[in-house]
Amino acid sequence: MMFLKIDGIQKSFGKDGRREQVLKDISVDVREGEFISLLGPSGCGKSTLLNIVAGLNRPDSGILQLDGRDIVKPGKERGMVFQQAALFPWLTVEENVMFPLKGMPKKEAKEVAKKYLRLVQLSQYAGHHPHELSGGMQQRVSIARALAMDPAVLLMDEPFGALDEQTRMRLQGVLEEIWIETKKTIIFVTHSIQEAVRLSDRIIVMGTHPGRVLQDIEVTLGRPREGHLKEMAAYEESILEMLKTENDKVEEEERNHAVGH
Amino acid sequence: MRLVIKRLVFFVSLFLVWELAVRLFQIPAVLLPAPTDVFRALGEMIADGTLFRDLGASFMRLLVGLAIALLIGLLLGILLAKSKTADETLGSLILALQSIPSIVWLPLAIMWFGLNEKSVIFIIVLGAAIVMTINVRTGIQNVSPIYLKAAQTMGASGPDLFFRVMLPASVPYFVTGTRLAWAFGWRALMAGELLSTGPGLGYTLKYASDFGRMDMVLGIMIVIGIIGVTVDLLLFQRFEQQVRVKWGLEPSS
Ligand SMILES: Nc1ncnc2c1ncn2[C@@H]1O[C@H](COP(=O)(O)OP(=O)(O)OP(=O)(O)O)[C@@H](O)[C@H]1O
Ligand SMILES: [Mg+2]
Repeated sequence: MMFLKIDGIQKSFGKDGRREQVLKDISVDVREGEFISLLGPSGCGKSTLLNIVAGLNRPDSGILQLDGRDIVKPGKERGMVFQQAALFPWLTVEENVMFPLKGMPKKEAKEVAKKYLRLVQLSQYAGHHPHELSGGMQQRVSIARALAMDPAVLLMDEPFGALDEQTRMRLQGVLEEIWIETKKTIIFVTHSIQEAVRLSDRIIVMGTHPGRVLQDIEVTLGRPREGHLKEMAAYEESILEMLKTENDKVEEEERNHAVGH
Repeated sequence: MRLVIKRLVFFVSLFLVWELAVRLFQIPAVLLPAPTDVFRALGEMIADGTLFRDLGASFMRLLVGLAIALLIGLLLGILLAKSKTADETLGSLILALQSIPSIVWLPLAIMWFGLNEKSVIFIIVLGAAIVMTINVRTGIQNVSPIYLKAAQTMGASGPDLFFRVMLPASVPYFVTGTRLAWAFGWRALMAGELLSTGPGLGYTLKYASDFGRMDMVLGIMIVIGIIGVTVDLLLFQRFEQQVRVKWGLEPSS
């Protein structure tokens, strides 16, 4: 039995009276402890797919199971990190990390928060409010918050997309370390080939119109990845090549479509 | 600092011109008393304690009225935000009521409650509760969906989601609502007292006017203005600003 089973997911949205298919027959089997990236161009349905796994959105059809149980609504066993940090501004950093720990004795919850803030190197900022933190720091807090409830799967929707290049690279390193340390199953959405290769065990390359899986690539490089720059470049090259072929195909279809009308 | 000096110079010259004009053209005191007379009258009212007694009585009424209004506003606002049917029916009535200055309810209020404090408080509640209701409703409806999504993925739903996320997320709107409630309440209070009974600032103002004491009338008007500006600008707007910065709605300066 697969750990996280995504099988034959279909999703369409109604647009100006007609339905547009956004996800077509998406099937991915995720192994426990795997770092898996969804890579694809803007609009291919990566966020939609991740929201469906989170339970924030329902698929039109298909099977979605975590550890053999159907996913029907959001739950603590699936933590999510969004592109914007989405921290609650009325709470301190520590209180934010404690938010999902409702029901746990306060002292214990504080300990947990402290542990995960240390993990993202923000212990000194426990008493600060989110507006006093930089974007990168906020995103680290939101990672700590998602980890604090000890989810079985961590879903990340372009968590570093809004950050500058330097911060982004640094946080990729931080995330890799966290992953090595916690061995969480992570589904990571990105449209950066470099980022996907840098972080993942597996890359699911998606195409658009409709959103579908193009290729499932295993990245068999040692960790931390910093020491494997050459091999990473080779992976990036081959993925780029593949996407180019795909793009040409889309353009071709586009032309045929235009001629047909 | 320059701002303070500019304002000081402006107000001092304003009073100087006023004083000069009254003396030069020998304007009778019932038409326009000189600022010196106004300040003397104010001094008298402070000395014999009437000013503070009036202020105390007025503020008591205002606080009672505001407390009731904020509570009603909060509950009604939540109802309108949560129930579409309530919003479409009761909500439209409240919007319509908003365009009626609350003071025009006074004749009816006097019939219902008598010529006493209760009528004035009723006017305050009516004026203040409506703006509070509208702000609470808007605040709750405009909670950023990203907060709701984030909270849901952390296991929050139902009342938990409402009390731990939706309410705190709307606090900036509650603060704005409270500031506007104060502003509406303060105006309603003065109008109500002017037309009904005392003790209170508005009532003393009418009393002074009946006796042709325009120096007292102007003195009280100045007090009303100063209190209004102080509370609104120095208290509420500052607090509102701080909250908006903290809630990430405005960059900190
Ligand atoms: N709630 C919705 N209603 C209608 N259409 C939607 C909705 N959500 C997404 N879509 C459409 O689905 C498609 C995929 O959107 P999605 O946000 O999943 O893309 P994405 O791959 O995450 O893109 P990006 O990289 O830009 O974030 C888009 O064409 C979008 O317009
Ligand atoms: Mg997206």
